[in-house]
Amino acid sequence: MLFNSIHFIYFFPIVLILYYLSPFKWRWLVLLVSSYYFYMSWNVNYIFLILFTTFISYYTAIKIESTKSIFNKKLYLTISIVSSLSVLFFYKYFNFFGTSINEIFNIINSKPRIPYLKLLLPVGISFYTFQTLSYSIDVYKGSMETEKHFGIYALYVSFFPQLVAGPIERSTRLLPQFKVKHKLTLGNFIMGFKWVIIGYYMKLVIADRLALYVDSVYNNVYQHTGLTFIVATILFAFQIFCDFAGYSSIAIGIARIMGFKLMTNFNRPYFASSISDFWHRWHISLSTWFRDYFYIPLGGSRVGIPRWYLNLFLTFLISGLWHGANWTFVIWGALHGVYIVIENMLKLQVKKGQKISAFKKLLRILTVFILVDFAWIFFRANNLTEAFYIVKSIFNFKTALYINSKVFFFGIVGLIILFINDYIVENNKNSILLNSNINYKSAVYFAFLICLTLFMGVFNGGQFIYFQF
Amino acid sequence: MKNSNIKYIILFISIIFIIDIIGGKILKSQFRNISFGTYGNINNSINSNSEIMILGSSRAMHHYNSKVLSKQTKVSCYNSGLGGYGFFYNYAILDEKIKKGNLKIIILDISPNVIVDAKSYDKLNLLLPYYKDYNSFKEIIRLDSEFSQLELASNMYLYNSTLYDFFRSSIVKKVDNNYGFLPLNGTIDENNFVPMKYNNEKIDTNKFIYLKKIINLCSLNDIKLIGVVSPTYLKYDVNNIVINQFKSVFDSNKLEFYDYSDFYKLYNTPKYFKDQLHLNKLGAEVFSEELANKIVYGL
Repeated sequence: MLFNSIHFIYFFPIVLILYYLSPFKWRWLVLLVSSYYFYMSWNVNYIFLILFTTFISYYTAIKIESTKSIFNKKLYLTISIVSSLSVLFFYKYFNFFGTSINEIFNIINSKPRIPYLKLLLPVGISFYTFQTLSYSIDVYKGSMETEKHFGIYALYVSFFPQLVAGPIERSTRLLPQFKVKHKLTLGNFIMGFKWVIIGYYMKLVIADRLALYVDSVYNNVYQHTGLTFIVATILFAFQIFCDFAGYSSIAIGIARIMGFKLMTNFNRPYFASSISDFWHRWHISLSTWFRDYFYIPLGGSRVGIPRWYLNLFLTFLISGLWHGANWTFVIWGALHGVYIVIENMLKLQVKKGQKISAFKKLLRILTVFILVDFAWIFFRANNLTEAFYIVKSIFNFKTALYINSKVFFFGIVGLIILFINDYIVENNKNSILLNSNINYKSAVYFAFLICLTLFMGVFNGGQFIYFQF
Repeated sequence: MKNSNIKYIILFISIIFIIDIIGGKILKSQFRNISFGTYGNINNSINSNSEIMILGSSRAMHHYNSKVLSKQTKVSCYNSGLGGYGFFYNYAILDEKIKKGNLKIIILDISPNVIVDAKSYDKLNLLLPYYKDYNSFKEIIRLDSEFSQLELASNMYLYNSTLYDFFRSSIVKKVDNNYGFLPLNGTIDENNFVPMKYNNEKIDTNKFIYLKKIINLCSLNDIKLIGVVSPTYLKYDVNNIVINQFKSVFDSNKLEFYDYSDFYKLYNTPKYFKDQLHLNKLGAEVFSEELANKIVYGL
């Protein structure tokens, strides 16, 4: 079930009414059943995988907490991590590694040995796997008590607003919220509704419109050259931002209407003035996950300088692989790793409180955008050969720009409105655009945004990009 | 709940309804003025007083030169073919056009690939601006199960994505001198030509139902219906599997049916084609003259 489907438009109000009408002690059940229904609407069989991961992480966490032996704690943590990652590896990476190994066999003239399995990647598997991993590690570290109620723990793993594409919530933040009786308040409703409207606007008006151009270029790369690739790649930067941030915004909004506070996942990333600033603004729940559960355990910055750079690079490399089982994602991650290492070597970040001129800031924003956008080529390309073809031909201006005037027209109108919205919020973090108040201006603005979405949105655009991860 | 908040929520809801109702009315009044592009073609088709009407999809749109047909037959002709749209749209436009009362001949271009095109349901959303005005359009739009009553209730939604057409129509003032016919320029690139062929894809029976509805409409209103398979560079339906099914429908209704898919004057001759399934301007002229002669002979 997609947030941008009619199915969901009917599903959510029903869940909301049932949720608020149910006695508090049964609300977890309403949400759990709704979440499993939401997930099973893709494929009923997926539910067994999520149940398996849920049960293993629940049981091992209780064992970790109850045992006194350090060896046993480590053993149960290992069982939890290995079993969760095995499911992820099998469904997401088996064919990727199999194909890569077979290619090596081909090079050395040996027959391929690893079979290709017809597997359907379960939606959101990377997201809920990471959520269970963080829970097990937090319990092991003692920073969190185990959740004894299996139903509430299962709800933490499968909470439908953020189940398939995040934000990847921490157990310390989300689990306690299931134990609080949320009242339907106007403040939560207004705030949630604002996030939902902005999310739908980003997805339907901008992302799905730009996708029409980007897909037609990136799915037929050999028919295009230079200028078309540049335009398509710039548009993809905004498409993926509006697609993913739009999803997160809707997720945050619908959770808020039910009284739950999910973490902010995007913070206007294209206003970033350095690469590290970009990663503090882009997919925040994932970057902080990697920081806490991968980068810091590797030693973080509290090691020698060469090792620190290696830690940074490895974190981004693995983050690339998390996104997808394709070498294109690995290179995308590696590029960001290289960017961040160079930035740290040259100390290019803007320090807190450091004032720079507006011109210098603009120059920095543009430089970061160009670097990030260059890396998007690898993220979007269908395979490595096509990605390198695009990079090679990007300065070849032999053929004319492929024009889709309808996409350009709606894309520009949509982006101008989003830019004004983000510019206001960037310069005034307490802007009425995102808080729980309503006044004359915001009432007009959001009514206008709804009408604009109905008038300009693409309503058959399909699923969100990050569902495939 | 604070009174001021209630006031603003009422304002918020009112604005949505006001924009939707008033905006919808303005859009509706202006929409019929669009005279070129896809909507221009639909508007002109509904408003034209022609006696011969060409129906079909892109192959109809690019193959039948209305002026050539008018000149030879001495009867006014309008090409209502629309790229990507088949029998559903053809039925709806015919149902509206019949109300004008002066139609004599319908030339229905039959494209074998249209009958298996699963995407044709998605394309029905382009016809939404006509949803509330014409029952036949309402009927075919409802064939797409994706549309819910919730969406169709909004006027702004019905005019979704038409802003660009308004914008273009207000800037570029064009008159449709070709009466719906849209000639294609260029010739087929023989070096990069990869032939397509019918590969036993499942035939959409719904489309046959609408073909029969077109036949019934013509029969009830005493309009001569001619089925034509227009020329191809190389045959798409190599074994005539689909074409024979159409032919049997036309034969059983005692209607004229002409298969020009391997028409000797044009077949396999690159200078007449833009691609395998589409004639260029020159090819369309040769074919239209040939067809006009046939119609004149039949008259």
